[in-house]
Amino acid sequence: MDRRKFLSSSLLASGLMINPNEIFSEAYRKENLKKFPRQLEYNMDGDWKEFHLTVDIDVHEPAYGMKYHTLLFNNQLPGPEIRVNKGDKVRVYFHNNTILNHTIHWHGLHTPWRMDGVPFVNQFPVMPNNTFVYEFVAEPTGTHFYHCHWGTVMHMQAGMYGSFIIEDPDDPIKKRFPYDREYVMVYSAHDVNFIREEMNRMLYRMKERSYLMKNGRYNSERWDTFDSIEDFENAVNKGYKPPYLVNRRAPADLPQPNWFTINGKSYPYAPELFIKEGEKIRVRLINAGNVAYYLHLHGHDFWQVADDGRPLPDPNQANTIPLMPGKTNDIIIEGNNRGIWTFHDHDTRKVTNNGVYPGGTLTTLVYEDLPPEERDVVKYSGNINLKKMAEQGHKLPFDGGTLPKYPLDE
Amino acid sequence: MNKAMNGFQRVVFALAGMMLLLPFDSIGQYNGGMLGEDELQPDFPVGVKAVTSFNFDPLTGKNYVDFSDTELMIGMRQKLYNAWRGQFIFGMQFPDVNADLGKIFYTQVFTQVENERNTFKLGRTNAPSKLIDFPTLRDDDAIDLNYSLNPFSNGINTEDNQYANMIDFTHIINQRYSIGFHADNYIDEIDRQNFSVNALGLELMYKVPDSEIWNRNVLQQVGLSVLNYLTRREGYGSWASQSIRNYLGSFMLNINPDPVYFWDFSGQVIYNEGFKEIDNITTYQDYTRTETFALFGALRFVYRKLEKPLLISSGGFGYKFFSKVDDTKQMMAYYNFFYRLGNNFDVGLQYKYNLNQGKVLNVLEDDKHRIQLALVFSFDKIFNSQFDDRYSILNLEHKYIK
Repeated sequence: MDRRKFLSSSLLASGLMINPNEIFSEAYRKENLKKFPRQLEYNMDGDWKEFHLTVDIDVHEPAYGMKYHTLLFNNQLPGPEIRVNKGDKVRVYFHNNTILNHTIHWHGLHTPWRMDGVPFVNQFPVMPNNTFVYEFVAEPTGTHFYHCHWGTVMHMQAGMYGSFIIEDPDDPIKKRFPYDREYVMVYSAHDVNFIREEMNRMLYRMKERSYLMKNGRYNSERWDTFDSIEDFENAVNKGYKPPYLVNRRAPADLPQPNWFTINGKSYPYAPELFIKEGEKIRVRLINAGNVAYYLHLHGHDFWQVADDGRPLPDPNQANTIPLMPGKTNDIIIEGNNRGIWTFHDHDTRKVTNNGVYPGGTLTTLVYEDLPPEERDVVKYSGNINLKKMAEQGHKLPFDGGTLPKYPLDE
Repeated sequence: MNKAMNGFQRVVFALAGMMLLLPFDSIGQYNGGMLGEDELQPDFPVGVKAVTSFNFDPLTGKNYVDFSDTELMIGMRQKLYNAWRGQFIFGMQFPDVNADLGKIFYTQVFTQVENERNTFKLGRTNAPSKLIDFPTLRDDDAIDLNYSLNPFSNGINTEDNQYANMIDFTHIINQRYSIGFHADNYIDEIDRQNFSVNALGLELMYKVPDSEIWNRNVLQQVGLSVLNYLTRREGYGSWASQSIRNYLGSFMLNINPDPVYFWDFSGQVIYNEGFKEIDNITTYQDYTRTETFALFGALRFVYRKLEKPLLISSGGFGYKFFSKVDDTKQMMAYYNFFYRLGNNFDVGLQYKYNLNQGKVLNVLEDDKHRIQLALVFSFDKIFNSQFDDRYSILNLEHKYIK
């Protein structure tokens, strides 16, 4: 094996990497913008902003070559972003195109109780081919999200979530940290094998339940919902087996996520954060999944400016922030240390794709105005072989000798 | 390497090392393990069926405990390159008490590769000598009537008819239609060392997948097949004239496709062309090689409570007509009842009546009545599940296997 092949193969064997110079191209930046949630358009009906959401079973590809069946709002993962102003009247038509039951819970919003989307607590599930209309006034301001509250263990990790941003025209965060652009990063974790098995079981079960419902033969035991504790206990005595005794609803084991995504994508397809020197960006972090993340940014201390959407009166400066399930955190990053910087979960199990590092929620903060001369790192590498190759005029790996986009080891 | 080792010792040492590796290196291209080439770990299906019964004949008073058909099956399934899948299955069971197959009989030892439209199977597995599974306690309870019988058997072992070494190719035309071709080696009790292909067959099948249980109307299954047993018929030269052709036809009708109170009726006919010259039965070979017409039908009721079968009851009737052998016939009727005691566990009761008349008594007992009280444990699970089944709802409706 010659030197060049050895170098290339040993680098590639360490993990999948993308040419770092590619990320500075205009095309890459345009493509990267598509990796953030698309805003859902609305119609005005009087003073109501009307949105339409559907749910379908579809195939999702978090990284090239890896596909699995999932549940999608408007054929997007995450679902489209609903962005309104504080105090807007919001009406959402939610149509269920699947044979499964669903609801939408507006996580962090102060809706009327019948609009909260918890089946059999404050609404019936939205059944196959049914439409439910959610109506509420948008409050409080800040970063929130919506998700399905039926079969939540599966439906949420299967993809039924999306960002819900309520803007404040008088936003104190923008006043204190004037920023030009913002990003929404929705984190989630997925056990794709669990999703497949559970979806199969739910589909199978719903076939029977739909049949019985058409014939008026549905009863509370099949709903798994009872009018009273006494009814429930009577059903158990007659043979009903609740999930905690014998698992009727789901696979026997709890999900063990093996795919971790930002906006539905895993490294190397996760979205990048672009910034310019001297610029401030706002990053809205949402954890719509079921695992905790400890997000660490290299080379910077960012400001934590909002918690669950609420602006913090005294923003905190940090380089690592916990993002727990169900939480949202807004951070402001100041472009004061130019380069290409890793932004990743420090629980490194979640920067893997099915156990293979690097993957998952690994991404970078990229100074898009980083001069080309600063991207060349061969001269700093200390690698004699690389230097000799450069001297002898060999073409260097990684487009002329820049570093791999991501370090091999944090 | 020890410097004191001479050249000869080094060679011996190296050979010894190679011998240790040989069992692995000699299997195909296996080179995993040490080299760290593990990729996606395979699925690991495990199946267990323990059928134990107390058998009692009320007329003779004979009784015994029977645990034949108890079976353990394990396997591995793997995604291959280019949309193919591969699997290996290994299964064994306790044969009948009077069998001469030893204490364990290997029912399944086969490998299979498949893609969206094709399956290719090689090894020992269920013989294609029936088209339908009737709801009897044991698979072989009505074997004389609902199996095409192996003409190379001596009649002692039912496994001779149930299992075969085979090479099978099935083309899935669509999700309900398939066509299969197979070349088989049936257990040959005439020449035990004969492992060559001794049967060829073709099978056409329409079948509604089990997972579409709520999407079916009356017709559940229709099957047709022809089986050519390649005998060494004395005095006949060509393979066609030496072969015994069996024609099988089957159907399953959903009488009441209600998911809670489900009724179905299944039937199968088998026409064994036989050899014209065999007009008497003095040996088991005569029994399987004379012309016969057998039909078998069963009515089944399934009561599902809370989305799982709680009670299954079925009754069936079979008749076999021997056109060339005077005054000879076989009849059989059964009724059974199974009740689910809990997950994976059933208790059952089966009554079976057999009537063998005429020349068939030369080779078969007239075992008229049998009452069986049974406990059945069954377990079927795929560990480390990584991909979907061909007939899962997701695959049927949204396509997984491509």
